[in-house]
Amino acid sequence: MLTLAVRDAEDQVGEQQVAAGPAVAHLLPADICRRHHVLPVEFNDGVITAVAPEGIDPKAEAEIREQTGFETRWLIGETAEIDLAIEQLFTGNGQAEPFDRVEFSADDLLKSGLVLAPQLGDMLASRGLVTEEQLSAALAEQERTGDRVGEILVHGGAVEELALLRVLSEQLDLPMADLSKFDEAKAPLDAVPEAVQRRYGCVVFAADMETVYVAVPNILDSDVEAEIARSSGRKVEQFLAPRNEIESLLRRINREAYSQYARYNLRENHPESSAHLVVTGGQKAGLIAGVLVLAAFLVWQFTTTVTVIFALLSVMYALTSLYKLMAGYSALEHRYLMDTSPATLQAMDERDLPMYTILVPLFKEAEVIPYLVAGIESLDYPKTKLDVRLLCEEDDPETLEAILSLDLPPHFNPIVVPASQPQTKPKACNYGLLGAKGEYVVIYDAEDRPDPEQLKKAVLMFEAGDDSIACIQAKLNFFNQQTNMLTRWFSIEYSMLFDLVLPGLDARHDPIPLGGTSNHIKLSELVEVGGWDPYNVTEDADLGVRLHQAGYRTTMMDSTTYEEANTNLGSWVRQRSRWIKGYIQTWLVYMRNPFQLLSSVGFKAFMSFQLLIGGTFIFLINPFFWFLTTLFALTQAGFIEKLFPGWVYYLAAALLFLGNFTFMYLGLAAAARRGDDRLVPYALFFPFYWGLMSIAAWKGFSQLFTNPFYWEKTEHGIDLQGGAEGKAKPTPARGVVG
Amino acid sequence: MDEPTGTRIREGAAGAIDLVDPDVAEQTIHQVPPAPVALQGEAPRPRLESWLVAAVFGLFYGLVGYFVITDGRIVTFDAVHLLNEAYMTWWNSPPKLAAITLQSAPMGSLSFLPLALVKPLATSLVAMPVLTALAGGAMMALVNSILYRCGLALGPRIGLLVLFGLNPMLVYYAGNGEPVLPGMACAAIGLLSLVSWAQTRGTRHLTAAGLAIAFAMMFDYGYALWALGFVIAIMIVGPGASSGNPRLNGHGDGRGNRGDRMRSSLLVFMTPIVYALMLWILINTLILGSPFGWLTAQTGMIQVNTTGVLQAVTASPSSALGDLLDVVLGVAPLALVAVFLLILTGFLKGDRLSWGLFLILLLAASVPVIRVLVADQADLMLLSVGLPLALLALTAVAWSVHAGDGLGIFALVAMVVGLIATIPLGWDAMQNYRYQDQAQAFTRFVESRESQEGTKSVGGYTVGIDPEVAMARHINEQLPQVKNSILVDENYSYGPMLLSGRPQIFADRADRGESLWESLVLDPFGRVDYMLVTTGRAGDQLRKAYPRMVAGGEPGLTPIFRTARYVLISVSATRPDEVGGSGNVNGPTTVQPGPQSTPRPFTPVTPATVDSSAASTDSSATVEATPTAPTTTPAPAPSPSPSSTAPSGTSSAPILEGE
Repeated sequence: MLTLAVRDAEDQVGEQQVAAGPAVAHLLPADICRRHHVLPVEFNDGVITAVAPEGIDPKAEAEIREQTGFETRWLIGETAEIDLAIEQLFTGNGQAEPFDRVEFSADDLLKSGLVLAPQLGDMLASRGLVTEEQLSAALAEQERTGDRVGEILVHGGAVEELALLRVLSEQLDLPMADLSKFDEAKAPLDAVPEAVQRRYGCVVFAADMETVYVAVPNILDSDVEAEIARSSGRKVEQFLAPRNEIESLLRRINREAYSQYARYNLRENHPESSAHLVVTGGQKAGLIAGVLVLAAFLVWQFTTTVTVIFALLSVMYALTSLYKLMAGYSALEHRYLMDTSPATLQAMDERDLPMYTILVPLFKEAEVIPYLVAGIESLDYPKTKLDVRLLCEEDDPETLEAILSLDLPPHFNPIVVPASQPQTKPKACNYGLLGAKGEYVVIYDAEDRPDPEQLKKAVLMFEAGDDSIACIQAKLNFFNQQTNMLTRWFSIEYSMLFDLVLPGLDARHDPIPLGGTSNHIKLSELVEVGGWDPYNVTEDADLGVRLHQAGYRTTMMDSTTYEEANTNLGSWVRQRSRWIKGYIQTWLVYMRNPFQLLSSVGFKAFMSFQLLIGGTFIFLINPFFWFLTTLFALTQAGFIEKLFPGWVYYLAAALLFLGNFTFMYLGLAAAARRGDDRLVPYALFFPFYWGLMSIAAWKGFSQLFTNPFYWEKTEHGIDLQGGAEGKAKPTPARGVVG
Repeated sequence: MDEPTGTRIREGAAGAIDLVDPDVAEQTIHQVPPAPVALQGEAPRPRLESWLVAAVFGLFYGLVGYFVITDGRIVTFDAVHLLNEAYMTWWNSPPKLAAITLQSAPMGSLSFLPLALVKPLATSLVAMPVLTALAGGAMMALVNSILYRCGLALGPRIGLLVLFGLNPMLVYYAGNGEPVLPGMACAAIGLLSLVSWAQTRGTRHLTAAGLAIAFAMMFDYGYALWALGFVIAIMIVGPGASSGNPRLNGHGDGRGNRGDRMRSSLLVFMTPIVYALMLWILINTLILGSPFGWLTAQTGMIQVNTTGVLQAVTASPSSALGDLLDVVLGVAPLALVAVFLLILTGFLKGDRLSWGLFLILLLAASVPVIRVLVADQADLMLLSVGLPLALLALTAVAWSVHAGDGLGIFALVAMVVGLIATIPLGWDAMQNYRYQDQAQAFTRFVESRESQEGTKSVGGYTVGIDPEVAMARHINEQLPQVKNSILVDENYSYGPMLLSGRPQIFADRADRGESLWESLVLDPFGRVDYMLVTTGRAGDQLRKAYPRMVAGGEPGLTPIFRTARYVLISVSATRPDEVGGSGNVNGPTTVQPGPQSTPRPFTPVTPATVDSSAASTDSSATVEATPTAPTTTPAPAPSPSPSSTAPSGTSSAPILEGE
């Protein structure tokens, strides 16, 4: 019999000797003991006493509970002694000795009072819920990811969650609760604070004077149970239930409060950053005064005034163009925060990967759901560590129905966003954020096809970067580039933006207006800055500025998410008009107090904001200049010449001949740099695309007055096959349900 | 095993793909395009070293150029003309971009614009060595990068740089303000980018190459043939393996096959070049109505310090090739070595870029030959055309060192020998080769350190700047400073205009257009107070209109001050025939419309027709320090002008060192 010198993990005093024997040691498989440097030395009254170098080891504890169903009491020992004991008590290289070869008998077990806990996997197999192959695959995955076998089987789609819960219920001797049809009106509202329930992923569905009845996805830690008991003043009785049903009930119980949070959190806590007011009173007064002064000058000195305006606009054009050019140039020297090569990703220990929340706002996108599932499932990330929140609108039952019909594993969590105004993507995201389990959050659109390694790359970068990095933006591009001229131009524009301009901003440490999807954010920082602005129709760009203002940095990632480009001109104009409207909204929000913005972000970032977000106005002005240029070329009208004296003329001419070429060429080079060779010739016709942008700009600008919070929804699912075979067929969902 | 009630066994392993509908998986997951083309590994660039090289050579060239102008008094009038255009762009009244001529490559003037903003820099002519020294320094840094790219270690690299940088023609042109060096700096960017692209296939190198050659072309149209060479080189080298996934061709992915990659590579390179050409054609069409006039105007600026007598020498293919050989042997003998080495590495090592560089070299060498033959003018085979060939040859031999493997040492030795030989050969060519721009005077100045003012140099040049300085000084000190009061043909009188520092007092074509200027030439009386004309060249439109005025034979036009190359004429306030008496016996001749009077024209001067008075003036290199006595009526008092400038305004010009 071996002895080890140990101390109690709680008081850490009074070294004592404990005996370690094979019977108790074999409560755990050898690989778990070796991996965690943990050795069971005693079993008494349903509690395993184990020795570990650091004492309490939460990961090991969870795994022991998964394996045996028992709680653990911890002793602290020396690593070397523990490892030596493990090697002496187990043989082989990492594999547990087959049970029948262990040199102790059933009598030994009986004499020691031990009852060997049944292994969960064995229980599932013995009931015919999983095959030997599935179990082997799950065990292999467990070895890689450190996750529980049961979870792996459920998230992998091998076992239904309910079936697993039934087995767990038997193993843990806990009753089950069916919450799917539970009337939320009957749930006690104040027995336990909602925040506590949300934090621990449980819901109190009933209570009496002495007991609160809590639905849990797995047995609660004793500490958590104690906290719930303390906050309720009653004892806790646990019931097992599917985790998504638990969250669904919690949402139904707190429907109004959650909805209010989604709509008003930013507005109430950070009103200065909320776009619920398009223009403030002060801004209105300033604008009216400005218009009056301008009118007076036009009456008094028409030519001079117009000349000055043209001069100012030319300067604005020049600065904006130069800034984008500088950003593009900076991108040439840009290096990403860290190397995310395949070799680096391969070396990652998946056991250390955190939970990752994926928000997918959906609206009338039932046809896209199979593609969405395919995209998410292609991600190289342990499914047990995914929290995919499919945010459906209440008035869109078809999409929800399409999700439910797929009978997806529990990492897909369909969430119904209550109908309320404004009905926007950021509001849905705020709603989905409540209860998010991930350390990091990312938004994907329904039709997105992210780089399979994207989540791992984000984790690597977050861990490599300092605490100031709160957000990592992946590149966006389109999978249906070749469908028509519009998609080609759109792709070139995205190549220029995401491969040149934004990496350039990153290199310069300027604020990055986030793209619509694939922005990976630390959950805690996101909550700290107030989440998304539900009133801003480019909530992504707004959030990028707000994070920068709060002192956080956004950086770029060398990973691409492919989206579906608008193939239809009308739909494209609507989408673009929303973007431009949103940029103007964002500019107006932060220009309520320009001095405050200047002092909070500094001059460099302030100018970047003015040139990038404020530069949107260029699209409004372009048609006037094009008209004047054409008119002058055709008529040589003298009055036009008068409006462009001396250096204004030089500047305007340089912008006309060099500025336009520069942007066209940047697009061409960006497409070539990405390797999108078939797009390159179409960049030569890029100026026509700018004309379309101006049409959209005027639509968006006018909507700012008529319907500022209206969300021009982008149509998805039109061209899911990349223009190869026309419209996508709705695919019958059968993969999940077998 | 019985299936428990209420549960289902799912088929397959627990892998993720099982959750996805196979059809969707086929359509969707496999259609996600592969990751973007990874940036190729770039060798770290020798940044600090490049800056040091640029600084050292730039300083050296700048100092040499400065003393060549100030002490040696050797001024290239092409450069003065370009600098004057840039100066007028900022400081004329009104300031107009139209001051820059359209028919010669515009970057020569445009590159002076930043320096011309600083008045003393331009009017003292210091801008000329500054510009070319900056370009020379930059070019040497780029050459250093090319050698680095070709794998040459620091020691040999520095040695080769020194040998190349001491090429006497390079030293001269890196300080004389001519646009040769700025053009070469652009070409060096192009060559470095081509070599870098051949090694990495990085798109940005093609971008840089395209932009650089486009700029080079706007310094010298001859670089258009270089561009053609680059295109062929890119096609020979090939775009590298297709980065796209062949399964995706024709589907959602924008990536294509090798042909698409080739097309996109060529587009990246050619777009800036084609755009520059199209823009230039458009501007020429809109303003001159002659889209391709610039193509035939190959004879450069009008240099008033030469008789232009050699322009009369016609050319034949054999004479042009002979002259080219003389130039190559004198300035770029390394080119002959390069041809041999490129063929060797191309054949023996199968190196594709060697063939590409070989073709570029051939095309580059054909540029001056074509120019000479098209213009039928032998003197266009200037010694300076060898400089770009020297740069190209150095790059080619360096690449042979890199690509030649076992031949590398041989190539390196050949490069060293070739560069060493260039120094004495170049020196000899500068002293003796017939088509040149005062290179002979430069060698004399280097040998003697004495001013070359008034001396002759091969090509009919009278070296020096004193005539311009004296005229500018007289205008500034003796004449009232009245806006647009001195009528000039600025294609000839650019020297005094620039050195006076006050282009606003001159009435020129850029002020209010060609037609108004022509009307002033036809009828200057009462509209301008003076005329400034050249005596050395026959093309001056004022002299053509009034052939006898230099000698004082035109009524109402009285010579009042004369230098070796210029005469200042006083213009009477009224037309002589209105005054009565003498009548207009030698009245003004009509300025002929047509090619010779197009806006900002290049006026072909063939052959030189120097009249007797001009010849006698030119023969005297001394400045007449006192005003010439009026031979006819007294000079009229200048008529007051509503747009007069301050009469005693300070001049920022032209105080040359030693004046």
